[in-house]
Amino acid sequence: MKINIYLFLLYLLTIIAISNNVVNGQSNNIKHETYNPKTVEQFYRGGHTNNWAVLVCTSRFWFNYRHIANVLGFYRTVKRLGIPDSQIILMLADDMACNPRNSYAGSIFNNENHRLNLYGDNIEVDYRGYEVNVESFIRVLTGRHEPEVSRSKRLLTDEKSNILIFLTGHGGDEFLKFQDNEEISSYDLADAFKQMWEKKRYHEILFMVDTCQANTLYKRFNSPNILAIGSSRYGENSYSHHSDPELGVAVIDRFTYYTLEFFENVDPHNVTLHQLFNTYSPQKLQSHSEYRDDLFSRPLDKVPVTDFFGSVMRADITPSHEKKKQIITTEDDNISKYQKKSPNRVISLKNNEKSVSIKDKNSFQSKSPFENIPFIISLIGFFVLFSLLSWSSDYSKKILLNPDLIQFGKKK
Amino acid sequence: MMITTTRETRKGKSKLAISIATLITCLLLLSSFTQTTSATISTEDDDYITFTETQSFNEEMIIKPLPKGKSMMHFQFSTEWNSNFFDQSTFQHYDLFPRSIGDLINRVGIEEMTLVFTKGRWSYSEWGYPIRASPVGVELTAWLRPLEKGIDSQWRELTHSLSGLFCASMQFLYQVPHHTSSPSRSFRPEGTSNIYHTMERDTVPAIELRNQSSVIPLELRYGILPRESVCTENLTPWVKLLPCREQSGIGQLLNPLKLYDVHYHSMSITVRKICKSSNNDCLIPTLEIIQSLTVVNDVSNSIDNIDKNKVKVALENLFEKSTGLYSCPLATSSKIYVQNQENLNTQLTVTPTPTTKNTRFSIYDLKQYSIQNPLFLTLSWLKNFARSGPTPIVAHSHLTGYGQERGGIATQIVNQDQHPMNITYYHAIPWYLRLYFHTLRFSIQDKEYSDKDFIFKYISPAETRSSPSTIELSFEIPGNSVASISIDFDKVFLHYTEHPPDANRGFDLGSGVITAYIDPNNIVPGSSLSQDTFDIEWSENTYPHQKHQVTPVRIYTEGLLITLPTPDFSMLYNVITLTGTVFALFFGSMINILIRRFKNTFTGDDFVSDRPIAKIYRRIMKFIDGK
Repeated sequence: MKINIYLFLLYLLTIIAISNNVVNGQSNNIKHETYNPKTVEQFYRGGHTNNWAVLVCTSRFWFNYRHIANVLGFYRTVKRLGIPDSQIILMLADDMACNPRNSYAGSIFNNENHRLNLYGDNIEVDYRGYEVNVESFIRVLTGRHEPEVSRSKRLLTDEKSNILIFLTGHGGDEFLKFQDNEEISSYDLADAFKQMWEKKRYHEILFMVDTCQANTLYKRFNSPNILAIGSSRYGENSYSHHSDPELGVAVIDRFTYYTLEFFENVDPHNVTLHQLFNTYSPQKLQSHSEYRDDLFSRPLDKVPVTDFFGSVMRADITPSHEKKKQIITTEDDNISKYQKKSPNRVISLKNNEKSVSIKDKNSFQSKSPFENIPFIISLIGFFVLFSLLSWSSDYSKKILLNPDLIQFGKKK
Repeated sequence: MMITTTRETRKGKSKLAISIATLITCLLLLSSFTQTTSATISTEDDDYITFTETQSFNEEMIIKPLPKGKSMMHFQFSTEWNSNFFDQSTFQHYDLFPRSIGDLINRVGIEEMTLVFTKGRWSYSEWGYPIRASPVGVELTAWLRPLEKGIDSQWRELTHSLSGLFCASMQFLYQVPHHTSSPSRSFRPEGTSNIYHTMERDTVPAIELRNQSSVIPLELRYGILPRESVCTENLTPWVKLLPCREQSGIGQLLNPLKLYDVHYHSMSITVRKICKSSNNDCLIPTLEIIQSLTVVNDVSNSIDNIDKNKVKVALENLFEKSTGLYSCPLATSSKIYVQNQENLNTQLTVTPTPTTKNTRFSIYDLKQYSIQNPLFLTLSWLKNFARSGPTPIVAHSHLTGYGQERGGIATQIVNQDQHPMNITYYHAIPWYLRLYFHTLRFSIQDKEYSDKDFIFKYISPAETRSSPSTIELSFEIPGNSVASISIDFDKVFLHYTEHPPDANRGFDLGSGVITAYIDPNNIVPGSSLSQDTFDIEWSENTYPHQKHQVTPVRIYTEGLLITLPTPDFSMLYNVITLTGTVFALFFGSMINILIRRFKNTFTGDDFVSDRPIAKIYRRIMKFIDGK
């Protein structure tokens, strides 16, 4: 029996060694073929050519003033960091600025000190009032509009667009209410994003949501390159920060308050998403903000916040036909890579993120199992082992392991 | 601002004439290059009219003190484009004219369009007639030239485009057609150029296509969204259409924080084609955009320090612009009019002294002021002055009945003038109020009117979920009398999904439109009507209505709020849980009774199951054991 086990271990080791060699060799080969320093470098520097923002307040009624203020706070921040109005889809479910209950006509404040009027004198609201519903939100994301719908109401993104999506309102376990009337579920969101990925409508998405039980909303996401963060765990509420005695309502939620505070106090061009996400502490929020980065390909401490909150206007020169092919193949590989993220992946960034080397075992998979050499080897090995075992089971008992026979053999 | 490109309109027949005329135009072209400025119309040939294409911009503002410490401010910005609009290439060279509107005109086939956003209600009895009357919410009136794609498709494209352009949810006018209709008499095209119709009110307006020598009747679409809010996001794109935006000129005063903190706010944009030339043929139409904004402020807080009965207003304080006023450099003219109302005891004083003054207005020409030397206008008037008499035609409407099943609408139209007046009443009522037309009552001073007494009567019932019911009545109202109209309706049970998210607030009903045709000969000098600057007669830059035309004055009734029967929106879940429980109890017990067999399964000490799988197992074991 002992010999049997040793044999088996030996077999396993050889198999692993062989397959490892083969994989490394293969990956080295591919690397030589497709290693294009420019594309890889660009990929790890963001790789997007334009930035979009979809900012949605889903709550109607005056007492939800803070939700409008949340969204407008984000609107102001992204506009300040350079995303133009034409690339911001702002959805406000109710009119708060010119609401008869608002004693400051034309103004919305997110702080009781009333220092900053978020409504300002230059604002473009794309969807408002009854238009803000689940249908139009999904239509905006997936781009399935009636032909007459004007450009300002469309999310005209492409495969090189980074999109910031911010939702706020009242929600629960895997749903978010729109206008106190209908709901969007986490499955709807996941399906919409999947469709967007299939239609090449985004490069990367930062999905932020400030609502009760927000972390449940991104549970079902299954499309690559989405980074999601919510304000509270399953079973937790998201709380407002403070209320304004003059307006008589709460003016901002905690999660948004600390996000905006972060942006007001730092130089946004030198901070990463990792730093932003680290500012959310349960003591401050009174809830647990958690993020999900298993779909996201880049390490968060290498992603500047301006990749989503700022704007780039980079023109991509259309690659030649052959180059295009290469890019398509590498992108296909990338997709499979994100879906099976392996802990063995090593990314080394040298000289300020300029050159990159990749070592990834699972990243290059052939399409047919019979083209896969490790698979064939392991198949043969399995047959060998099987035959060995079947041979040994009868024979070894009688001959190989019989001490008499061995002695007899020695004598001979 | 003048652009010196020369275009031509052709009506020619013979080649010889064409060649001769081209020579003339070439010569004219050359001469126009030599001249630095060119006249609007150079020459008039038999077959050719050569003219200089021009775009110009004018800005004006009128200030009128109102009783009880209020003031009306009306801003008017007009952009004109003098060109040949039959030529497609016209809409390619934009200068002062906003491109987004030009594109729309071309694509949708707009002959004339008015879009008004209003918040608050104009008090006709206290303030007289406004310069541009409007109902609460959004009103869109469009005269469309039928194109190949069909009038409905054009209207859909127009509403979608405007909703994108002005950040409003106007596509609801198409998607939810509660409020879109086409009145036949109440509205007439405002512009006159190229509109081939007599001024009679019963003809359908049409345009004549000169190159095809055919007459095309125009289609009117009228939509009203009473619930639509008006705020900074609508002003932002509106201001962006102005050549100087809010950077200089009168546009500087457009501070959203001050414009929405008012009693009444109305913002409009009108596109129309007018005829500026004196000849009747009007071969050179002028495309005009009028952007106007009316606000009624309460200035009673700013009491004059010297006299407590007087209010004192500094324009730069009112709109929080400390820089003072000067002209927009792109404007041809830039003027502020202060209405004197000389026959009233307003004790109006203005500082500094106006540039010119006539009987009606004190006029400031902003072209004479500059950044270095801006205008700081201060006005002061008596806080409580009396108007010189009642407003001639005033209308009100209200709901009658009670409960959530039936109701009614009643409208009173009051003529407080001595003279009889021609009135057209129009109301579009959404389909979810099922009108009973046999209950339509119309009486003037207790005299019931029958069909033959009306000048015109048109009633069309609603089509469920596709169009509103419309009532249009034309009649003559005698002097000092009251006309009352009433009709009953049933409230319809809407589908669960047809209710808006805030269904319990109620449903808004758009205003009724009253069009009064006031004969200018009947206006007594010094009466309250003569003090109202209705219908842009005050401005020298606006095309005046033809002299023989009776000026229409528009009065809107109040917007109404109707509570429809609303379901309990949590009902669905109650029903689901209740029926679920009942079904589970019922079917569970039924299945137990029908399927279960009650049998003593203990035989002896061992437990023997009689389930089939157990039986099979026992049989197999028996076979294996060979027993």
